[in-house]
Amino acid sequence: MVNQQTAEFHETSGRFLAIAEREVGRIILDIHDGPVQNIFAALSQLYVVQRQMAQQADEPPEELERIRRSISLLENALNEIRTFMGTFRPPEFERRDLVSILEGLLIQHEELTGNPVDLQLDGELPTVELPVKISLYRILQEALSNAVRHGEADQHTVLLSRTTSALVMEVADNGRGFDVAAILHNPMAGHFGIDGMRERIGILGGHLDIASTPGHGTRIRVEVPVPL
Amino acid sequence: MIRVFLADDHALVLEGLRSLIEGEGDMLVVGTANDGDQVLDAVRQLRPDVVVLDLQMPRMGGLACLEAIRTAGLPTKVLILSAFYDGDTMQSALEAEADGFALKTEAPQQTVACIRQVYQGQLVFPQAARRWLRQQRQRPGPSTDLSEREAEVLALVAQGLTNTQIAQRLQVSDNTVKFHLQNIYQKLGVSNRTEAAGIFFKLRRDGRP
Repeated sequence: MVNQQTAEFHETSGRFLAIAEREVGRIILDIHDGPVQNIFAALSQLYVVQRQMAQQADEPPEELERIRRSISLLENALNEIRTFMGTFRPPEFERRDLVSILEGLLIQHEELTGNPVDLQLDGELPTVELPVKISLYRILQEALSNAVRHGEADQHTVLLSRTTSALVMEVADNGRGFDVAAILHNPMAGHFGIDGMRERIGILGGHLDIASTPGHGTRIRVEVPVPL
Repeated sequence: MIRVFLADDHALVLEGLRSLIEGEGDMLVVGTANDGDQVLDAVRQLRPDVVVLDLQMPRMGGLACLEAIRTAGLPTKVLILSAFYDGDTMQSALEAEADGFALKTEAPQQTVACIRQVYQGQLVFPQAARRWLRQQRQRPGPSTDLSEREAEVLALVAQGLTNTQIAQRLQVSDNTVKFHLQNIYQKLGVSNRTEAAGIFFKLRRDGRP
């Protein structure tokens, strides 16, 4: 009875994960359809004006400087939107398998940070349900981002393997590491998103362990149960 | 002259890009479309050197257009124009055999530079995405020991047909289609038709249909 209730709880929670991702996707599309198109179009026109002004006048008019400043402001705005959309836009969770989804994240991470990520696949991996894909994707994203922001890591390894009853993802980095106990017991620390990662995996009936020592990088191990 | 065709559902973007491209001196916009479903016919007629396809268009998106251009065997270079800089979008563009990837969240002049690069035959993608493509080609793909009939069913699934439509097309019962699908899922190690379609496109890209 208890097992059945737990299973139902995990299933419902898993559905909510999918709904949350769809909502984020919708918001991103709104930003895409509105501001991005308009700024891109405005910039194209400003370039044309800038070019004409620079060609026509012997001495560049004062307005040219104003146009340059406007161009620079709009380019900065696009830059900020790009980072935001890249981080939050959900991949095609339903179409791709887990490995392909995680590979996409690694392409993105490498492109944004310049850090290479070594992905290792150990043996035959099980096919996993949508909520598991979502959770592992978001956890890996958080782990990589923490490693760079807080640990100043420049190399990462991701290992996927399976035990008899679980899928295992291990994420290691060469960053400066931290005192796990001190961070987890400090309510002011914000836990670097660790709580969020734990919650994501907890609602699927899995768990997450963190091993780290100052000066020796960080290793995060996530286990999520999968059918035999 | 580099002959360019532009497809984007935002009139302002089309207008902006057109002015920018025509100011280049060595480029000419031979036509534009505001949705993907107009692109294939136009490309057949106008024979542009480079087609710029917006990823998101209402009736037919950039990737579907690209698939149609490749299936028709038209020799044009294709540059995908996207506001999205995530790995998934780049993977999809590479899987669909785009020649390049330009960002709407980067300066529009960058798009013009990308048009020139794909025209010259370069694969214009970020380095990490190009490396991913190379690895994909080296990695042994999923099992392909599908029967002829199963391969046929998979191809129709990939086109987005329902079981009933597939049954009609192959003149068999719905149950037979379901039976084939179960076998396909099992052989490919997937759990639904969207994943199966994903593998179909991957196999086709690797030249192992």
